[in-house]
Amino acid sequence: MSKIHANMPWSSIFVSVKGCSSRFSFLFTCIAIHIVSFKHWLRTIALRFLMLILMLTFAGCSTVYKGTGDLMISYADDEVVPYLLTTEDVDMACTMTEAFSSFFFSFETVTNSPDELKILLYMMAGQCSESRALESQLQYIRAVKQRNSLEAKDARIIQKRHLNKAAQRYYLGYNSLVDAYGEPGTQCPELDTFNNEMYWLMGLLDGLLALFSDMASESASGIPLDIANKIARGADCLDNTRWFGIPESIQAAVWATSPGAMPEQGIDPLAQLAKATEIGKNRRVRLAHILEAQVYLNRGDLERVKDIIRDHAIVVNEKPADPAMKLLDRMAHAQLLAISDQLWSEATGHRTPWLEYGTFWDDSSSEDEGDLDIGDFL
Amino acid sequence: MQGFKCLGRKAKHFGCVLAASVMLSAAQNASAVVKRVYCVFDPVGASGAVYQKMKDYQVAALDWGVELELKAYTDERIAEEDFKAGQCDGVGLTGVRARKFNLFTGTVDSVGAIPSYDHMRSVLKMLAQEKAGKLMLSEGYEVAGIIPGGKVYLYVNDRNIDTVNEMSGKKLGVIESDPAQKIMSLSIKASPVNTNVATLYSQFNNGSVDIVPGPAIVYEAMELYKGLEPGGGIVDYAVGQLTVQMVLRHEQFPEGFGQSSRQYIASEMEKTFELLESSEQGIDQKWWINIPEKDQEQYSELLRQARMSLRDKGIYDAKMLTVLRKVRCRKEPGASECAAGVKE
Repeated sequence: MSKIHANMPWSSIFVSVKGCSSRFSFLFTCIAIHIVSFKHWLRTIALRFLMLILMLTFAGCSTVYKGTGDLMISYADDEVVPYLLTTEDVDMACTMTEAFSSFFFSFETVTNSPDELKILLYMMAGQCSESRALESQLQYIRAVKQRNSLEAKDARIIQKRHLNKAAQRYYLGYNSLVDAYGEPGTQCPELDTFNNEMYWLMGLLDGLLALFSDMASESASGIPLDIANKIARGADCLDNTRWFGIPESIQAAVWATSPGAMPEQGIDPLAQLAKATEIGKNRRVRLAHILEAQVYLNRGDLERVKDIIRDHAIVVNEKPADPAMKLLDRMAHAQLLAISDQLWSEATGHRTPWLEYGTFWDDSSSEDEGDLDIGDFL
Repeated sequence: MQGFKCLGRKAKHFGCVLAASVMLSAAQNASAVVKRVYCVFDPVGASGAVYQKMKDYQVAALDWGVELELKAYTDERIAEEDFKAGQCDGVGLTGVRARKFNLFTGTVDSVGAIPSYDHMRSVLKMLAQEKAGKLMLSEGYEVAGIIPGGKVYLYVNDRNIDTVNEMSGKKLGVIESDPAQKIMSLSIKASPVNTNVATLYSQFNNGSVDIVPGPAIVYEAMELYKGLEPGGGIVDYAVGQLTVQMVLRHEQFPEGFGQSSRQYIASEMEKTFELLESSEQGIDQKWWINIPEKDQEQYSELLRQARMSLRDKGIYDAKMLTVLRKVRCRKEPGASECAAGVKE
């Protein structure tokens, strides 16, 4: 009796059926056996096919995806991030972040969550929302100046929507820091590489910015207020000079609004901010300028804010940014320009005039009238 | 432009006349808008929630004929001084400081007078009524709105400090700018430790004081769970309610501005209550110390006696205390104070 093997072609099955005994008594038996055998073969084939699909789906594809995911995350971590930091087009970085973040983050379904990458990308995504909020803020300021309450109200609504989005993005960045390194403010994690330190710093900034954006949008996201003090303590884990004065400026910004959080009495947060700004200037990454300007803006000391912006305008012209950190320096520039625009708009109704960053509407004229008096020549 | 065309055709249609008059009125309104400076105290400053809320107020004020310039202050004392010195036409202050400008409204913050947010809601709605307008004026100042700031609880570093008797001899942090707090502290035989808002809560966290009063929002903002560890708690009884009051120089603002402002602020209060309730719900349940009803009555009577004593010293306003008592008795007619011989 011929046997049907799993690897038999369809034609051989036909032949074997044809080759059955002609005797009737065996005919049905033979056909029955062959049908059973054929079913068995078919089932085996189907099972093998199914196993192949399952292997491809659950083993093969996941292996491929996991490998791809690990590769992409490593590539982003090793190449994209350092490259991005050397670029100076803040708008492009923003667009790239909003367009590609979901793609990068999707790999968490097949491999480890790219928490560190999230810290940075959520920060840049938050900046995108904040810059949109700024446009609405300027619109609101202009509308108030034009005494158009309807326009002003609408602009405030849009501004709060963007700020709420910014708060959520920044807070996701801060939570990614917590997932990657643990909650700041208790003990310092092992920060043994440049990237680890950078992610830690960016995560702290994420938290601080989340808090500010949430407060400006009626606390709709409910960002916990105690993260400010945790962030201030977490900044102690970084070398202040190596990180352009930013860690101490973060601490000073928190202590300036919450003096009770200072670890010891006698610290002057404003002096600490000024020192941090100097370090940033010397290291050519002027991020501490923003925190100093923001603190004085909060206190309503607009003259000091103007001085900080004037100083920033001079130093960025005199000394180009650290090539490895151009993006951070440009982000700082964009933030300070936003503050300048706000001041200009409140005073004049329009933003900082083109090529006049670092000047203000009420600057006394320094034009040299010259030694010659036209009256003598008329 | 349409309006001019209509006028050029001798305004044949009523619609044209109406449109023209609306334009004329709008132009007059625009020119009638005056510029005023409003100083905002917010512990966080211009980034803070109070200042941001004032931006919406700034927009609303345009419709009442005023373009406000907002100035941020992180120090309440300086905001008050600048207001007195004429650098601001209006200022937002906590109820304790606003008391100097209007004793009637400043008494809303009196100890234990408003036990719940429902009570506060009723009081604030009442004060926003047009009929209450005269009471908002005092010596050239006008209170143009009262914003709820939250119930004040006592944070204690030992859960056994849950009755008035247990507070005797304990160090109680009091804010020096509020004389009522010191008098209260002495009346319960606690040792008052004079301090300010900036250091009050860090003193509790480092163990320098045993008891601090504060709203729920400071629990998280000042990390008070540190001071509560391991055996502390929060007495679940509101010893008072905070407010932020908007004080204006009445003559500097157009007629009717104050009333429009009060109605606007009252219409916004629900959002604030939601925030306040959410900060209370955010506190871990394990910290709350429930007070038996008998002890609540003891607290209530102690605070009532304190209010009357502070009224006699001229710190609280008698009329407001009576209003608040009537609100409490309307909501809880069976309370012992409603039948007491000596009433507020």
